[in-house]
Amino acid sequence: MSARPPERDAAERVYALLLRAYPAAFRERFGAEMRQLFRDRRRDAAERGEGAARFWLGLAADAVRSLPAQHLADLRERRHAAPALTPVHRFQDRAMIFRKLAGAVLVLIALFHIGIDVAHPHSSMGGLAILLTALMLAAGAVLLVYPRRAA
Amino acid sequence: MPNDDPSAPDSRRLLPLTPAGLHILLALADGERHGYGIMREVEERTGGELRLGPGTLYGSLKRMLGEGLIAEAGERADPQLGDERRRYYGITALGRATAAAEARRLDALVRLARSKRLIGPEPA
Repeated sequence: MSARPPERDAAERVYALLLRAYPAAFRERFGAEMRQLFRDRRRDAAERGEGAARFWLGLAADAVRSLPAQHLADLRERRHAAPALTPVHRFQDRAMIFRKLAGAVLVLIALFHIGIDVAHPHSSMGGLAILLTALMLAAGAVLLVYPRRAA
Repeated sequence: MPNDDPSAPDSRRLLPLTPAGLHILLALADGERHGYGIMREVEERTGGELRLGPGTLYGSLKRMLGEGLIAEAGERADPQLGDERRRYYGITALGRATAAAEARRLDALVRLARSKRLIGPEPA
């Protein structure tokens, strides 16, 4: 929607990954605006001297509050549009939602660990913790990104 | 301003509004705003108590668009925020009527709380 969308940096890429946890219809309609708001809030946080950990914690709380509500709303809309869904389709719907929420949880936990590490550099993560965080981030990304079927 | 439906249904059926919904309508009551503008207005008016995150804000906007409380009002750049285009939202006649009905409902609750001496008298 924007005439000149700015280049995405690593933080925005992570947020774009998190956005994949929202239902496809919601993401297609509001995803670009949510990324825009993410950049605006990030700029505000930097101007206020707000730490990265607090900023990401706020985003995580927002995702935890809004993700289940959007999936419930999406389920209701799709059932209203196609009331005669077969049990197989219903199972696939629920499995897709579970996969997305699980992916979001893994990404949020990884972000939380990274946030703690940034906020407390003196107690920096050890090798095992870094490996676990990277694995959680990767597993979350896989759950959110694949398969690419719309849901 | 967005198109308003003259045959707007009774606004009371949408009550009570969520706190986020009422604050969004109040933010739009004096003019069209984009998502970031709404977020800033709500944050400033509540002294930072209510900070709408992207998921909460756009979840509310989606629901309110569906209910006809607000409408899209085109895309344009905000001169204060650079040349990036932003989608604006405006309040509809139904949204205005619903916000007023919600304010009256809350006013009646406050009066009731005063009559029961749960809160002090109205400041002069």
